[in-house]
Amino acid sequence: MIRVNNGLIRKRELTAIVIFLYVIQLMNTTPDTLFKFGKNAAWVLPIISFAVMLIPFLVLLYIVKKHDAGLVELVFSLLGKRIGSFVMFLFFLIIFSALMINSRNYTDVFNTMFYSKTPVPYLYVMLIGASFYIANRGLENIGRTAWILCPLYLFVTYILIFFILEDFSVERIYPIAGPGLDVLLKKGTTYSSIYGESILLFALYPFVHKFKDFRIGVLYGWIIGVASLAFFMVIYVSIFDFPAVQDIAYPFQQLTRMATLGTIGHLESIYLATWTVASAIHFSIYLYLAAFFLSKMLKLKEFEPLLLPIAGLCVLAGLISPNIFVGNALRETLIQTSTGILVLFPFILWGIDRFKGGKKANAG
Amino acid sequence: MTKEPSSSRNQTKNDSLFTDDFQHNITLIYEAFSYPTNQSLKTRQFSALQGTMSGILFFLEGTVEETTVETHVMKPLYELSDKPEDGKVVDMLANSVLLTTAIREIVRLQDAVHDLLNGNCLILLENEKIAISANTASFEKRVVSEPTVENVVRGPKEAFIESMAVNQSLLRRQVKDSRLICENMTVGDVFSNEVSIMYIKGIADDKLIKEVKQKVEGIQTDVIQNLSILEQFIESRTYSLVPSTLMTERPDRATSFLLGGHILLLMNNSPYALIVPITFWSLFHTAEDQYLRWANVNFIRIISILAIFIAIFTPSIYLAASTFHVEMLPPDLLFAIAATREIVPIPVLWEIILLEFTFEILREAGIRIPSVIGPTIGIVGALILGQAAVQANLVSPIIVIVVAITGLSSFVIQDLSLNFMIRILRFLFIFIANFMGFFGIFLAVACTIAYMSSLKSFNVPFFSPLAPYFHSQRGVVFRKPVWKQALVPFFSNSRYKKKVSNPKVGSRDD
Repeated sequence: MIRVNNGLIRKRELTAIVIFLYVIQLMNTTPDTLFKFGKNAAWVLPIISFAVMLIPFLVLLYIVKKHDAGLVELVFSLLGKRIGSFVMFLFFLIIFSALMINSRNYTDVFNTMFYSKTPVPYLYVMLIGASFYIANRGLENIGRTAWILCPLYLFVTYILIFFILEDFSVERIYPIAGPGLDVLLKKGTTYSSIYGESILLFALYPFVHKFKDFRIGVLYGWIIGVASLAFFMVIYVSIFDFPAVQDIAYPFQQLTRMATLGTIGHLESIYLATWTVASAIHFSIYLYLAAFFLSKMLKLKEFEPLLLPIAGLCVLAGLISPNIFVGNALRETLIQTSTGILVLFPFILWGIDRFKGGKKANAG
Repeated sequence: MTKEPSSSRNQTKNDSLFTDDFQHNITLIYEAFSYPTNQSLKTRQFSALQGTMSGILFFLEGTVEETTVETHVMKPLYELSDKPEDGKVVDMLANSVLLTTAIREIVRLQDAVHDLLNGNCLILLENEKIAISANTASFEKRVVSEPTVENVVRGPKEAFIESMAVNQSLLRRQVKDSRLICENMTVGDVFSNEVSIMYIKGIADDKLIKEVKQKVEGIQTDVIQNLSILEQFIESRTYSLVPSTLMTERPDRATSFLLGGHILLLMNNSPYALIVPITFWSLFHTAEDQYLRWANVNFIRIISILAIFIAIFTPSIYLAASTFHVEMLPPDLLFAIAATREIVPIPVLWEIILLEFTFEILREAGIRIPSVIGPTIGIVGALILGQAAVQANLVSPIIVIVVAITGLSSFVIQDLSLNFMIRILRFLFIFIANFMGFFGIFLAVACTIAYMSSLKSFNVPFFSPLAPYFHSQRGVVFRKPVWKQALVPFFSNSRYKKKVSNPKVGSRDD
């Protein structure tokens, strides 16, 4: 029995967590950011970013398998305590900034699209409050919640296609390469840290039942995330057409406004529901990761008490940004900066591991 | 019953031994039962063996079967002809004279009192310091009758009654297996009662059995009247809306839980069995689940799921849609709602709360009302409140529909604890909807699901085997055909059979 109560998550839960990390990107401002550079071929960018990020991911997977230890343990054992703490701080900064900027962005979307009369701080506190509540119940529980809701979430998201089919025209994705293959490749690489969480997820490795569960869980979730984003970006282009699609701030929310089901005209309320649930879970994962990295940096044994201060700090810091344009600019900066760190980091770790391993072999 | 500090001291005073002095022994019993003030204690002097052996027989009125006392205790005593050669009268009586099913030799007054209270009769002999207690128990009980709450269309039509012995017999008839274990424990420090813990050895998890026993042992209170009170002592979360135990009045349902590796608790005075541990699915599945054909049962399950959602969310979604998200309603409906709302003077929240509370009051009144005037409830509820409230412009007709469908749906959920949970949650969601619309409702939904999936009942996660997922043969949301269900205890690793299959004998009709 009770084999399930060891506090570890299995592949299904992990897949669901990763799905809630990545699939939600098709609903936020990520498509908007990508359309700016990718033009009508922006849907290729997630695939390129995925391909670029996959290499460091595989390198890290190899190191983790070799040592059978999580990212945090690896960093501390390979880089030493001081540099290790610094790296933890860096990771914390990345994840916390992402949490802060994205959650503010989401709140702005709620504010603009649905609750224009409600003050932003009010919505913001509620959203982060719910995320805090979920995160506070532990990773195992985030996983279970995600797993229960994920089939429903994917179903509701994809069924939207059938509601907007009449406006659909697939020819609009041509010319297939958009602004040119070189631009796509370059931008795809620069923006590859839209999938940077895949690297940071290695920190959760000690909480996963076994190595295979981790590999399968992250890869499945990730592939579903990439496919969904690319697929929905094709839909956005085919429906709104280029260049109009560039100027639509929230394509998914616009799409839900256009969707019709028989005589029921506006389905956005249903999608508001889906999106609300998904963002609460999405940010609970971020909160959890942020608290985890901070506790490792400070070498604390328990990190649950950190969740509340981080949630509070996130709301306070998130409110600084005056509007969504600043938020978007911040997000782009964050993506570009963290790409360098997250893509290179596994290689550095691998190099040091080789170096140390070589030294050990020589000594032995 | 309130606690009487003196009574526990009385109990310790009872702990004295019988002596050779016949009169002293009799006085001890008299004092213990406050005879002659207490008229329940019945005595019968007798002398046998041509007057060489005399004694006295005690029993409590209403606890024994008097014909058994006459034929199995008194008659053999009088027919006794020889005194034993070794002079051990008590041994002889116990071993070869008295005809009852259980005989016990007693030296302590406390044991004597206990046995008398449990329906035994007690024989004291002259010049003996050992008393004999013979099992003649027969308490009044009603006959096994049809279930009143968990009704089924197809399936056994008997329910547990207030007698633990009868309930055990009902279970034994269904599980004819030597592995069905029944352990008895006592609860209550002052007025003790027996609790019977039943499980199937090898199927129920040993750790779990130990935990349940520890919980029952650890209860420190003066009295536990019945299972409903015991439930509140051993449940995992007192202040939570989500139940962690289940009560059933159906022996067949209890049996199916036993076979699934759950543990059953029985007590006297409780016409139901308490089942631990439970999951959400055991609350959601009905008694009839396994009796109906595959398609039918899954149809019912879809209806039940819908009913749960309707019962929780309809009022709050109506409230949110009509105040925050009017664009989601088709224009015609919106105008209809607006037209009926126009003449109602109170806000939609209070409209809903008013009618919801009325419905809950009706429901509670329906339970408490004497059955003679029961039908009035229907007339008052439907006619006066429904019709008249609308005509008086107190509520709009659409609210009546919303509340009616909500109320009706809540009746689909059979389990009382789950039913209460859903009814209380509904009010929570109404207030949230009034506050924040869909955004609030669905943040609360995410939190509720997170809360529920983190719960455990005796270490079994509330949503298992769905989340955390593991393979379950019986199906949780939808049921598999019965011949595809290997009987796998849902949280145990043991199983009876590796594989089951549909018997393919003779011609097939497809």
